Amino acid sequence: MRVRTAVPTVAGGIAGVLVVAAIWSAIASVNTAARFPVIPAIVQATIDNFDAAPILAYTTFGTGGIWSNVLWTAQNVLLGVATGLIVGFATGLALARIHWFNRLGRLPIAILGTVPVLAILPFLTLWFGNSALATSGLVIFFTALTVASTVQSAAGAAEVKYSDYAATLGVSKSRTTMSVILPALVPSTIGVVRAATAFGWGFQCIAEVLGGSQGAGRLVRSFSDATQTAGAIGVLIVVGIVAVVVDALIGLAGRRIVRWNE
Amino acid sequence: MTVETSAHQLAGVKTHAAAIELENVSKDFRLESGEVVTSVDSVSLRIEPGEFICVIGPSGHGKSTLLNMIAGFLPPTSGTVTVGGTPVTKPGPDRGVVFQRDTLFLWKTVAQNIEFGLKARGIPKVERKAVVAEMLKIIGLEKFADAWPKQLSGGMRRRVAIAAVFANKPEVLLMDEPFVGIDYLRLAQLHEVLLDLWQEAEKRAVFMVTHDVDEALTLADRIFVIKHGRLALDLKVHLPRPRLTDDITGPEANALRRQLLEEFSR
Repeated sequence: MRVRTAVPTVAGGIAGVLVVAAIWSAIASVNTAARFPVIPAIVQATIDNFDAAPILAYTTFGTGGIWSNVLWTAQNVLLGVATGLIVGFATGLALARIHWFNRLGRLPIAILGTVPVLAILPFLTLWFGNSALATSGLVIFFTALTVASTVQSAAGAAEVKYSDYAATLGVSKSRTTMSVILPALVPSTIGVVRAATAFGWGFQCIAEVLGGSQGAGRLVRSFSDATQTAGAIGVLIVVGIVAVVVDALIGLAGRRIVRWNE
Repeated sequence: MTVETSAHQLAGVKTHAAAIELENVSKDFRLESGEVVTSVDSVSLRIEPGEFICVIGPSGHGKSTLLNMIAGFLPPTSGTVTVGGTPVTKPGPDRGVVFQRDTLFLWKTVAQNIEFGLKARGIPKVERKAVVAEMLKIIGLEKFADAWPKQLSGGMRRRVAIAAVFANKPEVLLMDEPFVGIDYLRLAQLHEVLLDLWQEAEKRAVFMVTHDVDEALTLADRIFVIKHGRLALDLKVHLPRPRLTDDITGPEANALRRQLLEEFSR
């Protein structure tokens, strides 16, 4: 049954990729290789630079290729999302369940929520240089804010739905938080983590392009500076494939964790 | 347990504690416009242990507010609410509530939902398992012990919700329109389950808000009609139990039905 429902999805995905490839080829046929390289050139550049990209030695005195740099980016995206998830979850839950914290924290967090994410990048560079923390900072910041907001509203809804009922069963407030509110938050949290991870790739790559010492974004910049467009596109394609695989794994784990959800 | 209620104190009479007692209970709400609306107006009533009460009346006339005050979700503006002789100040396990909305924990199986209140109160595992098995048998869902709520029909979920509350063995069961939207056949089944659980504990009182006159005649020992926040009628139902279709459609039931409908239209 699952195979039968997966076939149209996979077939649709492949057809979509072929359509994009056809459009790209049409544009490439009337443009220069520096602007729109043809697909075989992109594939060749990706293969040539997969394990080792010589361009890095010229631009950053660095080593490695597309794969190692994409893995670096992936690791930082996932660490950033995980850190943001912990911070955001604790903050959102505290905002929803601890009265004094809500009074103190609501306004500062609301103000932080209005700050454009990219606007904090210069500050991260000032504070943390070009370290991994500086480039992951955007992912952490974005994830923490979105998770906090989602968790706060979901905890509020769970409280309305369940807290009176739990009280009539003789359940204490702390136990209600642990046994009732926390499990009720899991589905919406998994949803927002998926979204934050999807956006996280973009933020991480932007941070690496603008101030990173390594990673997929830095490699794209190196290829771009040398007008090796095919290599830059090859990096983006590999990032895209890894991102899709990571999203599928998170989705799979999520479905397993919340198999009870309606 | 015996207590002296204020009315009885005046008369110098000592009685058993009422399951639920309201003395001059009122509840006001302030609207956003600043206007104060009296939802419940000086209601006094006494419900004995083991009585099954159905509360009917037009929408917005204070039935649910009354139930919420007994449950401890709302404090009265004036007057006192006592359950088993103890003043109500907050929700507690002595007053089980079956809500109109679905409150089953989706991440717990049927058995875990029924067990949850017992576990939270530190009841030993062996005892908990025995209670869960008994409840599953009464509601006829033994085969669904390990099912998630999402795998159940609406009627089955209602049965689990009722069992989860009854498992906690509350002195008083409060139900706020628990069977809204359930079809006729399932409703009869649910009434049967409810009456089985109620009769299983001799002294357990039930206070059930409903809009359905037939449902009230099927279940209740007494029917309260609440209109404009006041107790407009306290009607005793002497129909024999179990109440079959003939009992509910017979002359005695029709006389009660007429009395209720007349009170409604007055």
